[in-house]
Amino acid sequence: MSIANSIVARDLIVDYTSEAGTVRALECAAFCVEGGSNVAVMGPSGCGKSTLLGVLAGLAHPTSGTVRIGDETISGLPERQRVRFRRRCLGMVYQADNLLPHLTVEENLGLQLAICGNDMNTLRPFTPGDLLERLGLGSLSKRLPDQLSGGQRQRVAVARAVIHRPAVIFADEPTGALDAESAQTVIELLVDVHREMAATLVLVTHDPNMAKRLQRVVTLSRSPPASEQRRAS
Amino acid sequence: MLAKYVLADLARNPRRTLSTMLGVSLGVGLFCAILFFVDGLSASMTQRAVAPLSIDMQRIVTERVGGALTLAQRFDPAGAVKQGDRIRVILELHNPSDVTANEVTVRSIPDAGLHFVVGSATLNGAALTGYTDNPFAHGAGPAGYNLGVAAAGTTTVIGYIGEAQHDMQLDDTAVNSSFSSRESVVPVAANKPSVVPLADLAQSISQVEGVAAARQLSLVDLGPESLSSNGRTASAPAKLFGLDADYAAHDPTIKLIEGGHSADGAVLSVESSKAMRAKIGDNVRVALPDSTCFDVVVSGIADLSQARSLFSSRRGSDLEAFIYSQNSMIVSPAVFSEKVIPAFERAATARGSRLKNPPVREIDITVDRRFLDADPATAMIQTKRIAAAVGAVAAHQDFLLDNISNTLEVATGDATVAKRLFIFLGLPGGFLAALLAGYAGNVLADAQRREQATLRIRGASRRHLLRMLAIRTAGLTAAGSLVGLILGYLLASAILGHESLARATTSRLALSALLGCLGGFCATGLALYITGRRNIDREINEDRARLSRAVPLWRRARLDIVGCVVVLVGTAAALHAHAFDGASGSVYFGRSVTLNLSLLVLPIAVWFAGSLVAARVVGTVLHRTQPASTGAVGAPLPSLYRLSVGRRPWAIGNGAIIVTLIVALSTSLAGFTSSFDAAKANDARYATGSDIRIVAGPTARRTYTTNQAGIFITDGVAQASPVVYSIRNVILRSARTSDPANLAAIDPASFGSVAPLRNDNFPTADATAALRTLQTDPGAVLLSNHMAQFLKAKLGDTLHVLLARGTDDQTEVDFHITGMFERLPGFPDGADAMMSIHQYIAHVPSKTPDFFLASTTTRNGAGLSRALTSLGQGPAAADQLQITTRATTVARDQSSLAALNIAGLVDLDSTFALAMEIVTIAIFVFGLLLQRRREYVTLRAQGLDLRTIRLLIAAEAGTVAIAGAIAGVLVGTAMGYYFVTVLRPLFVLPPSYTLPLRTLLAPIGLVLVATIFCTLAGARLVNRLQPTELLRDE
Repeated sequence: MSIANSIVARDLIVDYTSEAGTVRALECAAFCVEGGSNVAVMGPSGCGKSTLLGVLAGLAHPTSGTVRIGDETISGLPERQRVRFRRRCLGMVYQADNLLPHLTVEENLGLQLAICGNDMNTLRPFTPGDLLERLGLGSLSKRLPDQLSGGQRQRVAVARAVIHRPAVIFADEPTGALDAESAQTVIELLVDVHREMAATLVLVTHDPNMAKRLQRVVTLSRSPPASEQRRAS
Repeated sequence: MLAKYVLADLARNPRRTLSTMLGVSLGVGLFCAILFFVDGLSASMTQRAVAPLSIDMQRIVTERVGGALTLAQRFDPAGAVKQGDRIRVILELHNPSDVTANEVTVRSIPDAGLHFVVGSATLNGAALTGYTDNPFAHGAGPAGYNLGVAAAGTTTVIGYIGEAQHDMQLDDTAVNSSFSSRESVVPVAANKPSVVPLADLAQSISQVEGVAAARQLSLVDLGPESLSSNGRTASAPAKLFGLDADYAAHDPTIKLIEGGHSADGAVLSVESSKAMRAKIGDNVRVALPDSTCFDVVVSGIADLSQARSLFSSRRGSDLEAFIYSQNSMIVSPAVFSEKVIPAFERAATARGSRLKNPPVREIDITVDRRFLDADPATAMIQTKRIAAAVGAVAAHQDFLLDNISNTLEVATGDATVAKRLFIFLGLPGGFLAALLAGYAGNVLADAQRREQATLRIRGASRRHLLRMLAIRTAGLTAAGSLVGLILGYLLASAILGHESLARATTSRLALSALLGCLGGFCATGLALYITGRRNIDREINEDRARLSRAVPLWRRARLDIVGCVVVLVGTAAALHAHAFDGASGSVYFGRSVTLNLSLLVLPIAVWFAGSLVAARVVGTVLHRTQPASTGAVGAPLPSLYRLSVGRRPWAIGNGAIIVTLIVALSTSLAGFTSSFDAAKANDARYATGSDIRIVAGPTARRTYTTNQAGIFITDGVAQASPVVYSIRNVILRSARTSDPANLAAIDPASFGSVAPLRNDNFPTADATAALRTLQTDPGAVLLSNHMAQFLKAKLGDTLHVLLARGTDDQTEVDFHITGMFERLPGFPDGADAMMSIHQYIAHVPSKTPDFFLASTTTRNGAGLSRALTSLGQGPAAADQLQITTRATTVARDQSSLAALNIAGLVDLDSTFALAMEIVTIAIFVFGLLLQRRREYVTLRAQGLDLRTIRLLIAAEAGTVAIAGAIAGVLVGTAMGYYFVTVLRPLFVLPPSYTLPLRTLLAPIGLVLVATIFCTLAGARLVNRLQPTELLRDE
């Protein structure tokens, strides 16, 4: 197991307080992903898949428990260092492309590099032009997101998530809004890039067909504890 | 069901609900506050207009002295007559007085139904022969019959026969008979009711509802040397008044210095008592025009120098002119009627005599002002009703001068102008509120697109969404209106004062509340509904990015260009038609201010067009700053800022429009107020003659000569200058004609530095040159254009001036005309000629200046207060001086428009404008957060720190604020200039446009502070957003 980009989460509990009282959004005794591997997270709606991903990415605080990525216990980091860790080590793809609508394709990618700035990973990042060429989007680099199809936009979103060569890629149902063909392309892209970069990939999906393309599937249930199912790669 | 859902939605989103409601509340609040403000101001206009009136109504008795004759007419038989009946017409002329009436002429003309029987006329029973027609309507004229004299106590009987041409009823109209005499040249109709004695008339009038008091006053001009005492004679012409102690007690301008009024005594003016060295208890002998005289004991001494009720002119040509006579005496009405009137009757009836100034007898009526309506229009209806009731008492023997109704008529016109003016000045605020509500609705409706999309997916039709929008709009607008109504009342009350507002009637306030709510409700509600409806009608899936890049409708329709064209064409047309030249108001001329209020469209057009042009410039400049697309993005903050504002310039442009409109409104109102105050101060200074006018009244202990002006130069007083001036103090005689005139003798060396002289007042030379001529040329005199025309005199002509007219010192001196002038400051009653005071005292050595004009070292209020304090502690502490200032002149200004609380309106507008400014920035910032929260969360997920996001929000909001503020100041300056130009007739002197830079700091500072505050609050909200939820939502 490569330790540099392994993910280890233990005793995770996420509670939300609402007018109706406290709602438990996630309870997970242990969640471990070997560095450089990929894993699909599945489970019924409301079981906490996205919450788990948010906690792992440092976008949300667990009520209790720890999350460690590589050597860094990010659940214990102050906000500023968590942001710094996120920009250096993480790449994220969502069901919505979340591209900035007023930036062209290459600017969306370039912005990620600009945000990373000096906090870049030790590996040399991709250049927007090269990456877009590789993804077959070179001719669309000057276009604004609303001038692209849904599949193209999601591919740009994947490109943005990996352009700075993150150690870990989180993808939350990246194909949820796409047709089968586009979904297939996006998944292949994600897996290919993750392999090339030796990054760890955690993908949340509802689609078993997508899940089975990954090395491991973790199924979350509504009631804890989370069961784990290992699948041969 | 829908209503429940909408209410729940409003409750679930309190921030959204409150911010929308705030826009509505501000709009309705402003509408209501302006209407309440107008009500409160109108309520004080009656009070203000009538305050300076010395006499509300004057019932002038027209019965002339020596005109006590009566003519009785009767018929024999009387009543109904048949065709062909003969009726004897009997006229009895009776002279009940003890003096003979002269040249009495009787005229009697039967009606068309009654035919004069030739040869039937008789005089005292004897037939009048030799006439082939009616001798009492003889010839084509027809002339009356001259009886000659009517001896005292005699009755002359005249008769003739008339034949009825048809069946008729005989009454006074059947025969038109009248008489006239030398003493009473105006024909007096037969059977005129007998004259009610003055005291009885006063008693009857005082019973009229609405009359607080009716007191009799008699006055007459006596010739020079009419008063004497202790062997000394007051040489100047005298004025004798007949009034009682009650009259004097209710007139504060009759100031008793010593003693009191008595039924058989006399009160002397201070000046006449000094002239005759008469003390209380001394006898004063009054010489009357019939060469008789009577003695009266001095019972009191009074300062009458400010008694407007006594000395205001009664002549129609110069009503209200204050014609003071130093040589005055007051006796009781009984003494006046027993001693003075008979003497004048005798003089009037003496053969060969010609009485130029017969006594005037009048009832001075005070209206009970407590019951007058606060609104001048209603108050005028009330006073006219009172006047009609007063006129009905013993009608037809006199006429009524209804001063109070005349004044209120002018005030009514002024009040109407004021209301329109205020509504116009307040209108931009109302527009702004509606725009703000629309802007809020637009920003918030954008945020509701997702909810609406969800509802559509669940089966809601467009009709359902529109009904929900209508319910939401009605609910928000109703709640906002209620809050706005309360807010408007409280603010108007705070600025105007609770007392002023309380003076307005409840029904008027209720009407204003209704109109304000309705207007505000409709304007803001419509703005909210229309923007919401437009959002519903948009394609649900229309891309948000495309929307944000879309060029706004106003830009596509080129409304900014249209606005500019309207301004240019409107200005050119107005200049061509001289529409900016209105007429100033004048109570003296019974004229209200005339304002061409349609021109107020121009400043509003400047406001809109300027703001849109500014937004076009901002949008275009930002659009041009966008960088070309590249993958090599620089530092995140500047890059993101440039890309955001460059690719979405109209979001900034639209926000800047609202800020520009608000700052421009504040700027224009500040400029207008500043110019208005400065112009009013200039007007007041012009009327006063300088900052301060010092009069050493009759009670002053010492005499202040021309060379002693320096006494009044105290701390805060820069210069003092002596002036000799009074009404008709000289007679000017040219080669063609002569006329009494008002001469101003001034010190040429100092007058120019105290009085606000204007070069355009001197058509033949500038002010300095004109004064220099007076200083260097001992024979120089300046003549008013008006007087020069009357005298048919021109430059260089000799002018004979009878100086110190009507005094022992009067002397005629020849001058030559060295210049002309239009009008001079400091002489509201007008100056006809101006000369050097040094030349004046060279010819009239005993004359001391009538007043001194003094200028302050600094022109502001503090400078005036300082000067007044030092004068009060200096010369005024040692002597009794009457000091008036430009500030007291403004307070005395009878024009209701002088009472306009423009500053209050500006405070009101500014308060709302500043509140709107904050709300606009808040809506912009929070609108950004609503529209771009996903962008901000994405940036956070990408690793952008919160500080950079905060700075990005601040930079965009700051762009809106700074661009709006700069454009607002520019547009507001132009708008304010137009306001001042359009409202030019409010001022006497042409106003100059001033912009108080310090006042502008408030709106500009506030917009920047609001930006910083809202950005910080916005950044906190970004930090609290749930990225996990937002990022996965589609």
